[in-house]
Amino acid sequence: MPEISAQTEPDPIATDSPDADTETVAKRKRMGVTFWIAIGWVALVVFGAIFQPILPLQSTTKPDPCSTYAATMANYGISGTAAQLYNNSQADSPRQAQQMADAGTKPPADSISACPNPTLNSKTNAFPSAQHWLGTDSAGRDTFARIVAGAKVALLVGLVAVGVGMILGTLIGLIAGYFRGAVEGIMMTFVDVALAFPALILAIAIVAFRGQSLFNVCLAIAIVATPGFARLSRSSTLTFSEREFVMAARVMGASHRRIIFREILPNVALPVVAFYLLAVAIAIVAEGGLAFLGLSVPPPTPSWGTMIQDGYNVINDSPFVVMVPSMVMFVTVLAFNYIGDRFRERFDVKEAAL
Amino acid sequence: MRVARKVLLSLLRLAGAVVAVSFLTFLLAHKIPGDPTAIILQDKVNTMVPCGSVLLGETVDCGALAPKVVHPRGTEAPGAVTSVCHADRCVIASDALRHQMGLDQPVLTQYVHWAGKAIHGDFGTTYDTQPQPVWPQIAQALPPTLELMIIAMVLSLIISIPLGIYAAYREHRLGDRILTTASFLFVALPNFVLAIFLIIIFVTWMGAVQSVYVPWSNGVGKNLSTLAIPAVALSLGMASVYQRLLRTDMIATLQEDFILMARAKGLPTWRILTRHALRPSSFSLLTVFGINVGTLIGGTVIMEVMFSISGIGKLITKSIYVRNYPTIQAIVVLIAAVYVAANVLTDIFYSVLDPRIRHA
Repeated sequence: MPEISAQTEPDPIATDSPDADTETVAKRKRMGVTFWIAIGWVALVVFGAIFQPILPLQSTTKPDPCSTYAATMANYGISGTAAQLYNNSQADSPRQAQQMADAGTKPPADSISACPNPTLNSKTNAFPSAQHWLGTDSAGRDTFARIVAGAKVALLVGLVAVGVGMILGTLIGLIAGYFRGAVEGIMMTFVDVALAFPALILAIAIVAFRGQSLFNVCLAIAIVATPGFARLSRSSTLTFSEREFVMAARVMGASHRRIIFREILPNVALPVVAFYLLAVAIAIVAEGGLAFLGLSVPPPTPSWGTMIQDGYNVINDSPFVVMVPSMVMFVTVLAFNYIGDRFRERFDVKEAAL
Repeated sequence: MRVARKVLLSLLRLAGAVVAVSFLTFLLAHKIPGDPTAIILQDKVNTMVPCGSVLLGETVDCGALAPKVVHPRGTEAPGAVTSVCHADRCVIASDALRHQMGLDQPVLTQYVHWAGKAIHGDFGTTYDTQPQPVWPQIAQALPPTLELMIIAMVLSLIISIPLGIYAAYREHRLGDRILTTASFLFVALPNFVLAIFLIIIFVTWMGAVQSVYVPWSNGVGKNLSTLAIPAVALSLGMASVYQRLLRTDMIATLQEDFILMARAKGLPTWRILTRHALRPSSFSLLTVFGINVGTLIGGTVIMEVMFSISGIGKLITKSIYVRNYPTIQAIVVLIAAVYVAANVLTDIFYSVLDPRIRHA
């Protein structure tokens, strides 16, 4: 997993362009087709995540009624009757189906054949079809619906959790960089200690010790993201608080709060937002990493990471199942990286023009 | 003199960071819900104490079966023993054991006690019905992890240095453009996704290599071939970062007068590139190489789980699964220590290598 702290140091991605000398400012102002494709993809992901509950999608938890139940249920150690209960949507989970079957609830005779015409397209690990746009997973659930639902987790973990980390970190950095002295010493010691953990290990520790839930995954990401933002915003605050316009504001008797938020923050915001976009990409990958360790969002909530991990179990028989969420995660990360890079280039131009 | 002072300061910082990290981990582990004594006592409670209580609608029969408790987090785990059996007897047993294990002491006392032993390599014993010492487990898991990390590091340098030199030399030409695009793609490609693609191509379709780890003892050749995919998956992302860094620095170096001088002397191009330009261009690469140790540790953990390599990553996930907190704690502290040490070493190495920094 790429590391957040690694990005704050001499930045591998930002140091890229000696092109800056040769290209004209006008040429660099044009964002290009790739940029808009990236924006479009991110917009699509955000749209899916927000409107997932009202979109006409298939169930993310219930398998296709025609998928091969015997095999799926055998994995859960469930008998035929329980499978039929589950099949006929009378039970929400295989576990409940088993409990109902044990308790003697038998499915009505006429509902046993919920799927009169099973086809190849409706089995588990299916390829895309008109019914299942991106096929089905190893439990016969619709992959497309799960991808869209997974976008919600990706954005919560990415945009929201990293956003919380960004706000916290930027505040710490602004205060430390503006007031200097003991305040800075104390705050930056904490930041350095937090940065002494490798990011994924810290996230693992937080989720492992606090328990597996969406909130704890987000909390871990937010905590891991904070120190990077603190360092970044402190270093820009240091350069800006020496500038003439800050001095002018001070001479005019502006309060500390006004200077920090009205004079310094707007200047610090640009590099912070550029870093934010990259950090979102890193967080989405981190969720995938946690999923592989069984520490991401608990089932049945689908996330891209848990989908990849589920699909990985059947990679030898049906590589397509793992390919879909992997590609979606890759393209999303790529899009955020690309937008972040462009943003940073724009920012550098502005900096140079000052 | 300056260097010695700097080294000393760095070492102090290292010690401070390790203490802080280990204390934080200790606090995190201390605050976990669930009582370690409950896990140890579970066996005894099971045979000694008659029980039978209702939890979330399920009646638990404690005959020959272990008491099943629905854990607050929703997973089934041996947990709050007190709520399963007759309260007074369990509580008394737990308290006695808790005192014996020192768990009734304040956190700080517990930490000092733990740290004092940890310095001597004694990381305590596992919370288990049959407690085992933690350190031998870790020592056993270290070699495969180190092997994978070292192979990935070496591989990333082998890939990135020639490509970085080439891209700088052919700046803005076709080769450079292709490399720039490729490195952008590989930076964004998560290592586990890359591993999945490689498995699909080389294992599922071609059947060329095995995707399940084979230890050293079963043959070095086999061992290396099973490490090929995880090592490549780990190194390509790092390699593209290094390639970019080297390219940027090298382009700047190639404009220097001493390169012009070397060229004027009629030295062959490859010699100028490797002997004259490479060393002064490699500083940012080295810095990031050191920082990347942390990234690599995270990646290695995931690779170990994916390829069933019985290393540190596998051990920590197993320990998480069975809630074996002393082991998790020891591993987290160990990894943090290695990470901080790598950062400090890079710092020192950097100032030793670059005379401009040494004399600044």
